[in-house]
Amino acid sequence: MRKWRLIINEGNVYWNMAIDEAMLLLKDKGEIPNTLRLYVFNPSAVTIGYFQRVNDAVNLDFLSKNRIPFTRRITGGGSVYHDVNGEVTYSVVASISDVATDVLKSYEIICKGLVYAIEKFGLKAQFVPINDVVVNGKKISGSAQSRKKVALLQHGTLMYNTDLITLASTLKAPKEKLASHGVKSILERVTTLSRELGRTVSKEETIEALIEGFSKVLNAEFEREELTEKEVKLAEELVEKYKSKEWIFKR
Amino acid sequence: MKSISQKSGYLRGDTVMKKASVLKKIKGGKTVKIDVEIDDGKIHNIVISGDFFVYPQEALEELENKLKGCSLNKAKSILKEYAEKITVLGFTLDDVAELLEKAFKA
Repeated sequence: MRKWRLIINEGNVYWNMAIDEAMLLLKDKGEIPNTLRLYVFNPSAVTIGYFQRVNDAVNLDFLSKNRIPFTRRITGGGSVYHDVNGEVTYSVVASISDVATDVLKSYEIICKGLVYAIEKFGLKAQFVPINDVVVNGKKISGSAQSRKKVALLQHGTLMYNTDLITLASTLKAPKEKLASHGVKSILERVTTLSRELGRTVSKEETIEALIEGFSKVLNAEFEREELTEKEVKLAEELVEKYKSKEWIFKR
Repeated sequence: MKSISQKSGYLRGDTVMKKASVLKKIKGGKTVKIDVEIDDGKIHNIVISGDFFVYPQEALEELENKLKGCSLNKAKSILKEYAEKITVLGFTLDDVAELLEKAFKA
């Protein structure tokens, strides 16, 4: 077993993305240990993938009407609705050499942690390359990875009780996308732990399962710690970028 | 695999600038879209977007900049060159070449 740091916290969308980026940058400089961060978005928010166009990814009218904050991630992939009462986000920040040099392989290793976490609930989960985890054919988790020279950041979701109606209203899925999934709506292709189990799953249960799942795939022994001063300071600088129109509407 | 395209044109000086937006749904679930402006047979501006992954990430913007000013054939050879040196997940640069061809013909 290798020692990893465990951070559990919460924040708004700008702060959350700034912390993840700060951890990646400092890990790349060898200034922080391998870290698993588990967190929620408070208030509920939307993030979009680095290469997405805002207008293609989210329903801007709905977001502004409902005052749902959103920003662009530094990671690729698709748009995500982060429900404060229904979704836990994980970040794995580590040396590339401690996970896998091959990008696809590293997605698989980390996503298997999600699979194990879901299986703790007695459900059967499946990793679907590149970056999805599904239960009964429905997506329950999506991940995205960014790399620097020697460090990687992979963050992703596990929906335990997300309000899927709101999710469907916030995100835009092109008709073509839905067609390729062979279903008519977002509701038919995403699910939550609570929905699959027929009972209300708590955030605490979800966090506990994630810790066990990641411990297994990363061969990690987690030690609960707090963010360093350096991380907080760097994140305070980065947070301005995540709030800026230039960054959000970059594409 | 399906793709749709929208086109429009507007006058710029004495030539017509062609604008096209073409997207392709990739088997496996990702989408890649190009928004391109074509002026006198050359790419004036291009944005390649979608829910995919590119490593290193900066390479996509660099590629877009290289494509500006290129004819279709030149653009295709640049895409081939980039396919050798960057990792793209969820789509291929051949998909981009295919979309570009559609946009030029649109």
